[in-house]
Parts: sequence; C-alpha cells; structure tokens
Amino acid sequence: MFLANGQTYFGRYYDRIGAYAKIEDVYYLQQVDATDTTPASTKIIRRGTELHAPDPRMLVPKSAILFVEDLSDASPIGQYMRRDHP
Amino acid sequence: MSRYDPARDPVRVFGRRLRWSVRWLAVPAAIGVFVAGNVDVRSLPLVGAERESAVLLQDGQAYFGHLDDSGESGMLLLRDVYYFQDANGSPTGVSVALVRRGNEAHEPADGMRINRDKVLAVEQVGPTSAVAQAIAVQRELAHTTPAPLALNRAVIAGPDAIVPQRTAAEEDIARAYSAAVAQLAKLNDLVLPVTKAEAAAISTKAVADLHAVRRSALVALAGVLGMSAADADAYARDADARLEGQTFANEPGVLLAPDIGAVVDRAAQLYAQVGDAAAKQLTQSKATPTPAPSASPSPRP
Repeated sequence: MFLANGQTYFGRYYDRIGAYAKIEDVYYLQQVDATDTTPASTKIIRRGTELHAPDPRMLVPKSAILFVEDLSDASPIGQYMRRDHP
Repeated sequence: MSRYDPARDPVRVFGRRLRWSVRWLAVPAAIGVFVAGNVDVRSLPLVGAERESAVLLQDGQAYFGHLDDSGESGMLLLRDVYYFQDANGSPTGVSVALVRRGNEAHEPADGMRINRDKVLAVEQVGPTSAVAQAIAVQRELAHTTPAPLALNRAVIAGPDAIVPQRTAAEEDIARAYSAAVAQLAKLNDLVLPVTKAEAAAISTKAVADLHAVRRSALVALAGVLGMSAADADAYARDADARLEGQTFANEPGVLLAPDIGAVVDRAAQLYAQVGDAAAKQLTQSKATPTPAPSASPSPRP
C-alpha cells in the first residue's frame, strides 16, 4: 500500500465499506544509515514493536492511499512476511 | 379423485427447503461475512478493555486518545489526547517524551478535531504498551476519576504501576547527575587557565550544587507522586543515599508519564546550568589588572 506521504506498508489488505481501508499484519521498510563498518541498507520491520505496541490491524483513510499493489509469489518481501508470520 | 398431494410434491418440498435455507442460513451467513469484514468487534463499545487509539498524521505527528469517528463531517474527534515530543539527549534513554495535550500556550480544551484527509493511519494502542502504561499512570497522578458510566472506560493505574515509573525517574535523575559530574571531571583534566586550587574549589562547589539539584528533584518527584512534605523529605533523603555512586548506564529507558517526565527534564536543565556555570569559571582566565595609563607630558605648542 503506497501512501500519499511516500510511505509504504505491506500486509493483508481489506477494502472495506466506508472511509477506511484495513491492513493487517503490517510491515514497513526502514532505511539504515551507513556506518564506518556497514553500508547503508534497508530493513523490513514488523509493525507492533513501537512504544504504543499497536494491534496488528491498521485503518488507513482511503484519501491517504496513493495506490495498492499485490505482491507476487516471488517477492522477497512477501517471502519474508510468510516466513516471519505464516 | 386425484391422489396428488402438494405437500409431498418433491419439487415443492425442495422449494420449501431452499427458501428455508436461504432465509435461515444463506442470509445470516452473508450478514456475518459482511459484518466480520467491516466491523471490528474490539472497536465496539463495552467490548474488552479501554480502546486507546493512535492517530498517525501525514506530517509524521502521532496523537493518542479516545477516538470518535462517528460523525459525517470528515473530522475525527480525539479526547484525552497525548502526543510524543522529541527527547533526544534526555536522561530517560527514550528518544521521545509523552506530553498531555492541554498545557500548550493556548491551553486547548479537551477534544481535538482532526481532518480525516490529513490522517495517515489509525491504530489501536496495545493495552500493555509503554504508551498505555504511561497514560494510565498520568491519570492516577492527576487524580482522574473514571466516569461511572462510560462506553470506553479509562484505565487508571494502581500503585503497582507507579513503582516502575518512580524507579525509572530516580535512575534518570541519577544518570543525569553522574553525566554532569563526569563532564566536570573531564574539564578538570584539561589545561585550564585557573590554578589547581581554584579549579578544585570551583569543582567542589559545582558538585555540591549538582547534589542539591538531585535532592530537590527527588523532593519534586515525591510531590508529583502525592507524598506530603514530611514524607517527601524523608523519601528524598533515603533515595539520595540509595542513588549515591550509581550511574545506571545500562538500564533500559522507560517512557515516563508526563508529570514525572517533567521533573526529570527540569533536573536535567538545572544540571546543565550548573555545569555550564562551572565550565565558564574553569575556562575563563582571571581578568588581569590593566595598567593605568601614565600621565604623559603633553607637547607644548
């Protein structure tokens, strides 16, 4: 799910009636800055470990959604999500 | 006379069964699927524990509170609002601090209306999360009384939940004190424009001031926790002795309730002021008396 502010969420998407879409078991990408010993990289993080420990479901106003795509079976992100949370 | 019995006609029997199935099985199943897909049971009133929502805005800000999204005006209503404030470098060990909305310069009343078009996402705050615990403790400190009848009853922390917050605050106050004393020691290792004796006197005075700040912070913490003046003094004496010589360098950070966090922040500010004043005295050379200009004979015309 690509959002209007440039953020991307991955998860199970439900297009519901009303102003919100629902996405469950959410993952997102986080850039890790380069250090002296490691190059810059991108991490995939499961949502829920933040200070407010959110529930696995997230409601997103449809007005904030730019577009939604399905992940292919070969998607490394999809494979990681299946391994992490079957 | 015909032997045809419509009640036993297989086609009619099948039709009756089909109608019964549609009425009592298919329609309820379809309603069930629709409701399950569009209604979250945990969002319904009177179901489960308190429902604290996190409203994430497109500008990156997050607000926590009781969400009412029932209106059709395109605005969300959030009550009992808390939000994160940047706290990088604070002694709490957490990069953000929790703040209760209402203490800003314009002192907004409870009830924040948020344009839904500016909302990025809405989440449920975990009931055992650091945010939920800090909010529950803050309600206890503010002597919030829950409404006798409420669809979303606020959770108020008991004494057991306050203990970890008090301990974390004590450690934060001690950690900041240790950092300030260590900073002072580092300054004394430098080549200073003052004599050794003067540097020692300045440092001793600064450490005494830092200690006084730590003691007053503990008294303030006791006040926030609701102790009487006498109890606060006894608590501060005891805690001061317990914290002496400890650095708590590796303790995990705890998100503090806003009132407790304010005490820690104030202590950190005062430590910084004492440290800055001492650093200024240590690094500024004493003013040497400038020679008075001697009277020179003015050339006569």
